[in-house]
Amino acid sequence: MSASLTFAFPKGRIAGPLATLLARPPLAIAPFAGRSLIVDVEEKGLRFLILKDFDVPTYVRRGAADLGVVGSDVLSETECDLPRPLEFPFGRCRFSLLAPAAAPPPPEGRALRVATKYVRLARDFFDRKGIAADIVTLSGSVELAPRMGLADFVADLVDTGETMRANGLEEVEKICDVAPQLVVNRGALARRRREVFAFVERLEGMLEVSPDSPGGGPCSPPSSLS
Amino acid sequence: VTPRRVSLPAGAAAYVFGEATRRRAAEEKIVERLRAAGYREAIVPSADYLAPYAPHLNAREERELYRFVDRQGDTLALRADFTIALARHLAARLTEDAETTRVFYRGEVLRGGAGQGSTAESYHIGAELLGVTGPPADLEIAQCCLDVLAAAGVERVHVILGAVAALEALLAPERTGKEAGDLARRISQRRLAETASEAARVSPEFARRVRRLLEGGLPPDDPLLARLPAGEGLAAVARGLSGRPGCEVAVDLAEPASRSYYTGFFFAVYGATGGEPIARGGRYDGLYAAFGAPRPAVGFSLGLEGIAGS
Repeated sequence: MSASLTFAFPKGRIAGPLATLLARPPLAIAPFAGRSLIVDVEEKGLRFLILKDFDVPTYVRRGAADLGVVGSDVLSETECDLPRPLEFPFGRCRFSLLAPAAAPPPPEGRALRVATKYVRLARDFFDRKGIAADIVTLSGSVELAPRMGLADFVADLVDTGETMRANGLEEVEKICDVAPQLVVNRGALARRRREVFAFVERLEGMLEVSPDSPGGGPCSPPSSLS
Repeated sequence: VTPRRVSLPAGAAAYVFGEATRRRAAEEKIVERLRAAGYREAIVPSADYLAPYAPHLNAREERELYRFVDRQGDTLALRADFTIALARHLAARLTEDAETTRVFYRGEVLRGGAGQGSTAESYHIGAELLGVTGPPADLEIAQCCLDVLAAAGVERVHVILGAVAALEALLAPERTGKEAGDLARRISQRRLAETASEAARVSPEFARRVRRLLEGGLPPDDPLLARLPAGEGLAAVARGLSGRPGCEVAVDLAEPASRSYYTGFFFAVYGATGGEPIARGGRYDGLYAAFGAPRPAVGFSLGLEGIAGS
């Protein structure tokens, strides 16, 4: 019997709907419990590594995982060119430029200050526009930055917009759409091509399960992960 | 007292004692094998003017360079790739009537943007076969690559063969020009569902063709290869390599070329573990012409850190 396929599972915002998808037949993998960061599901030939979203490309690119799921935002930010056979219909959102609602325009004569954890995406956006921007790199809670005088704008993911509005921000412009992607390591493709594509097809089939089937319907977070 | 700094810059590495001995032993075995096959050594500078290299680099390759301004005000770059450096310095030495030239090199290359478990500094060994074109030369260089890997103790390998612009050629006549380029890019990214639905709108036969290109792993006698100008050559190389013990060969036309100067056949070699190729090679028939000595050329290189622990 061949070794398990190693799957990099992101524990960020797409963990819930992804766990729901994996719980559908035929994989029918129960949501992960406990604090272990490695979960073996031997009967399905799978090993899951529970990772931070931004670490998924590194694990997959370097071959520590054969495949994984990560948002297109992370792939663009890390300039990751891994094969990406599937885009998931859940967990979609947009990467947008946000500004304080009804705020006066930033003073002329200096670069715009933009707080974000997506430095490359933000810089590329302003370069395309020909606008000088001073990127303030933050690792989280970026919505606070304008209120505390750190930045004029925020560049961040917007889903329902609830966090944005709760922090007095409004959407100025969408920079790009974001969707979770299945990524595959090239070495795994070379060594285990059939297994990898069989797994991809299985996942694809699980996405097509009708809402009336057991476990079918939209991929919402199971209670253990929400 | 300032604490002694023992950390290294991201991606840098130092090797001592047993590890250094293992790496040198592997290097010596590889060099011995290359010399036995008739390859002569060339030494190129570790820093050079950036200008002659820039036209042969894509944006990402250029961004990865370590560059600096020397005391005369010229922009220099540290060696990030041997192939261009060798073409620049060897072209001036090649005489008009020179026949086949076999040359090898070894030394450090430095590329920025590493870290995340990748090395910025890598010890490369490679070989080039100049003045010969066609599948026998491509097969010789691929065989040579696998021979030196075997000499260094790498017994099991998976070889992926590809060709520049093969996808675009095989998407015709249904898709041409920009449409073919866009679809080829998505196939290269293995975008299964997206390409399947687009191809299905054209015809069932086109959908099957796209699917097979996307999945790769074509056998040497696959009819798709017969439709490709470079297909017979790829099939010949695949057949030539497939009898080697411990070697699995597949033609995968969705595999993107790893260097922007490749013009035709290229290959990547994966070991039994690890996510990145342990060796790469390909044909670059335009590179020597750019330095004033038109010559067909094919070569390979491997990073010692990828195989020393294998």
